[in-house]
Amino acid sequence: MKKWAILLVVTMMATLVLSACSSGSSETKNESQSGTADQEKVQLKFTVWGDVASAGPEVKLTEEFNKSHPNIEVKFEPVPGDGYGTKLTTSLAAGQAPDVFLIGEGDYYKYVDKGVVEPLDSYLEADKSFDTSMFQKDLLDMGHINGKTYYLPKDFNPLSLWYNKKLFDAAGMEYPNENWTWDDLNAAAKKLTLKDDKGKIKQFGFNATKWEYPIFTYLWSNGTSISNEDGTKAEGFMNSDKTIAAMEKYVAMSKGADKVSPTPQDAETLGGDGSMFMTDKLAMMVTGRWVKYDLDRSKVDYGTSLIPKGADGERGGIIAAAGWAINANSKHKQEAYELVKWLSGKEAQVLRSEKGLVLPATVNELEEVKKTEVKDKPIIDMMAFAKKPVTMVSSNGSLFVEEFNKAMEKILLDQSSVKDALNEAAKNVDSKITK
Amino acid sequence: MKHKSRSEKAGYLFILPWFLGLLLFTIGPMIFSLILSFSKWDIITGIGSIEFVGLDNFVNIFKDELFYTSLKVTFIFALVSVPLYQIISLLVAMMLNMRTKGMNFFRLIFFMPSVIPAVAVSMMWIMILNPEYGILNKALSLVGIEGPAWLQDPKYALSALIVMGIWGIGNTIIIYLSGLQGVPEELYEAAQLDGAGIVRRFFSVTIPMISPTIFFNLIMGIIGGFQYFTQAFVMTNGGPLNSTLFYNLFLYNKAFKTYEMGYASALSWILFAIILIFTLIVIRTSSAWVYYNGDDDKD
Amino acid sequence: MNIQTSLKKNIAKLVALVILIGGSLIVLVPLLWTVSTSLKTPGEVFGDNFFPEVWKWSNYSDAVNAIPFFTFLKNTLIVLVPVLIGTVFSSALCAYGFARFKFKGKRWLFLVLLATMMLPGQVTMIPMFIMFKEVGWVDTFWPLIIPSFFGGGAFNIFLIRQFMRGIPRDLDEAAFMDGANRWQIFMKVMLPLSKPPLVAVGIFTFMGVWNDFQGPLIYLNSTEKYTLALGLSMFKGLYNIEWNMLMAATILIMLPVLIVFFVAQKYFIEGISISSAMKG
Repeated sequence: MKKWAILLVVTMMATLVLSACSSGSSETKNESQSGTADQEKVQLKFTVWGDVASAGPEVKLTEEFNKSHPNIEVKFEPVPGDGYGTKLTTSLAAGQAPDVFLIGEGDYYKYVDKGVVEPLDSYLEADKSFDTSMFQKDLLDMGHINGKTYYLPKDFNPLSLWYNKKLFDAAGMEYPNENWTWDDLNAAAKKLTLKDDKGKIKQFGFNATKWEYPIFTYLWSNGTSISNEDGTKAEGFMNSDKTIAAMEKYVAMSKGADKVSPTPQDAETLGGDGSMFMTDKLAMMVTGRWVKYDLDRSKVDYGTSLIPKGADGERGGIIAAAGWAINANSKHKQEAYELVKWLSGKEAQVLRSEKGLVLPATVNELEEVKKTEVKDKPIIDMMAFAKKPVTMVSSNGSLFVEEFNKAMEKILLDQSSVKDALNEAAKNVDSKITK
Repeated sequence: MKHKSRSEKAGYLFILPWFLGLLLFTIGPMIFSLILSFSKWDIITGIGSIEFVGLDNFVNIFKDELFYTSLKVTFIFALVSVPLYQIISLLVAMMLNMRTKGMNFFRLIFFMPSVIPAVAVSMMWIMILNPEYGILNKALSLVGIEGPAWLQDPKYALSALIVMGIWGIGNTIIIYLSGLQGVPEELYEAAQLDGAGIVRRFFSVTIPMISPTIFFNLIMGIIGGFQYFTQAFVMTNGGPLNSTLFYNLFLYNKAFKTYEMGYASALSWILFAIILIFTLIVIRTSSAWVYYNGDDDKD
Repeated sequence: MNIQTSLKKNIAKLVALVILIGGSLIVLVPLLWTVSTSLKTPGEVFGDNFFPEVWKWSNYSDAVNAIPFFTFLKNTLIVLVPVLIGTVFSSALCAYGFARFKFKGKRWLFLVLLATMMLPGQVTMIPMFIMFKEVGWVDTFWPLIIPSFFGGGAFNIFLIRQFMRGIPRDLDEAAFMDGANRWQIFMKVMLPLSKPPLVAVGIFTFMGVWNDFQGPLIYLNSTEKYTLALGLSMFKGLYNIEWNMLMAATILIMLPVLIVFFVAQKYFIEGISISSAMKG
């Protein structure tokens, strides 16, 4: 009978602990507790997605910020890359999200559209000491929506053409240059595609990825796009004659007897274009600068160049960008602004780019890099050609991308011709568009 | 009578921890999600923006083509994989139950795959299933079969995931193994003396004796099968052409990609109903085939 | 036993062994691949070679040194030990309640128990989080630990209940006659007899906590509170995945579970000798 009582008491105690804790929200509790020690200290939190290599500078920046701002206590809480979306979403839902967080262009428009992030314009105007013209203009423009600024730059990766020098040398060919058109690329890729004795391709000339960013640059250089200017219409754009003709050429690169590119699925199973490139199985690819980190640590000998022009001399570029934004529900927005300013300011840019892991977002520092880093020069030059992907233009953006990807999948699986698939996709987009 | 009521009280006391846990941790979120299924909620904007919309979510779901696609994929998967995994697990467990030297070693090996995190397993299988470079098709070509493009072919992607699942049934094997350990050796010996062969002994001794375990694994298999998610999320993300768009993947996309939590919650309650129906069917039939040594209670 | 049956028995055994060896190979080849990947250089990961050109054992020490490995290990143990105790004990307790007692509403309650597993976690996750936030438990280990003391999970209760119902009632009747109360019967008769499922529950719980990514991801904010599974995923950035390091980390995290399993599975054998002895 005694043991019964013990059992009962244990469970009762556990419930008591629970209900005792639930009586007061800890957030307020914590604040009042620490408030007695240093009355004025404002608690801020900020988060990034990250891996081991990239968290280092942020830790240092946090320490320095806390030193120079005695009234603010900042806590840095990085989240592993593949958990970032879930974690941020959950904490936003619960109203528990950090004051400052990093957003990438994937979620950017949606966050702005739903009012999750605070516009920075009023803070920037009031702050005469901080001049945003120090940032690369194209980069700032990426973050403008309806004339307002919602983030300050942190990370950005312009897309450019990467080529494997060893494979070019072996074929006795000249490296790509800034005068190349997409036709030049295609012709070179054909020469660089090699088969083994069994007729199996052992080396590909180019990777015609299904990732939409390189495809966008390709379409832009061909004078077309999957949507109109403000992302409200697909008919006549996604399925225009120009788009269809261009996409037929593009798809032919990874299909048929003359293919010069792995199919998207093959590339994926070979570890992606980066891995194929590093193991000398791929001669050229269009991708973001993040790949440099891996390339530099492998044995591959590579170079970079501008993404080719179209036949009419047009060129399109794109920047995968991420920046610091302020949580619209933050209780300390002014302090959060100070933090954002610091995290994207000159010192931060220099510190992060010190080891060449990322490019600095500020004009002067970029110029410095351009002078000394041969491989980074074309990448930086590509920024001048940057345009916004449809996802950064409209809240319908993901609809365009989704339908376009679906069409590509059908085409690559021989379920539909390029023309039919794009026609259907355009119709689907326009029927679902909300604005 | 006195004895019975005492026993009744004791029963309640023993399940009390679970019941408290139910009240404290489970019921709340369940009710919350039930309310959400009749609401519209862009989760990133916080709790304040929840808006009651009546049956809208359900009406939209039944108009949604992808809902039916995902339902079909999930049903095919569950109906094939649940019996398949159960039979294979049981057979392997019986072999692992043999009293032979080195059996510890085999048990360890068959358990290993369940220890590897699902994401790592998925990555490994992406490579194994690669049509050109993967070892599966290389092995098939040795016997003169040209393997399909598995994950990249809408006709084979679902089958590939089902086959891959066999690799990870270690947990089910262990549960069967623990069930088999409870079967007294004497019963087999007695049956053998009666002249029963291996097959006879399997059906007249093994199956009835471990029927509670089969019952358990069957129900858990149904629940798990209908909620299949991680591997499809990592390996195919629903493709190609939605051929592996599992129900929970569809639900996840609604909740965490487009942030429509109300819609996702409505989806989850539909799935709840489906699983419940299947579970009830199994429970109803169980009195006919599940044999408990210790009591004559019905489920 | 005549010669013929013993011959038959041996043939059956032989066939089974052949199947087991074949199955083992199927299981082991992908595992070997994991191991070999963990010893490669980054450029080699997706190369043609099954085995690395140079065996980079330093990947392991690098993986350990790149993150505060031992802090993460300590955190994992802080969660693991109480959860293990809580789960095994409280699920056995509830399983006994469901297996051996008659009370009003039992069938309904049992159906509720099963029903709690039927709602996808994706939709209960956020309400759960909001609840623990209200209690002030975000960025603490409590949300990961406390629930295990309340029944230890429907799966585990169900598993043990199934086994307990198979234990002959004469055993507890006999103990009852000897003057044991329900608690003593539970502790002295039921628990020792239920060793196989208890060990299974223990192994699953160990594995679940050890590999859990989602729970720690959502509830823990401070890096210094990270568990191993969460900390090791720091090798996956948004753009780059260091496969060799990730695989090295995966192997490191797998080893303890395998050792635990190897040790624990012996109790399966022990479990049988007790129960057959008592039944016999």
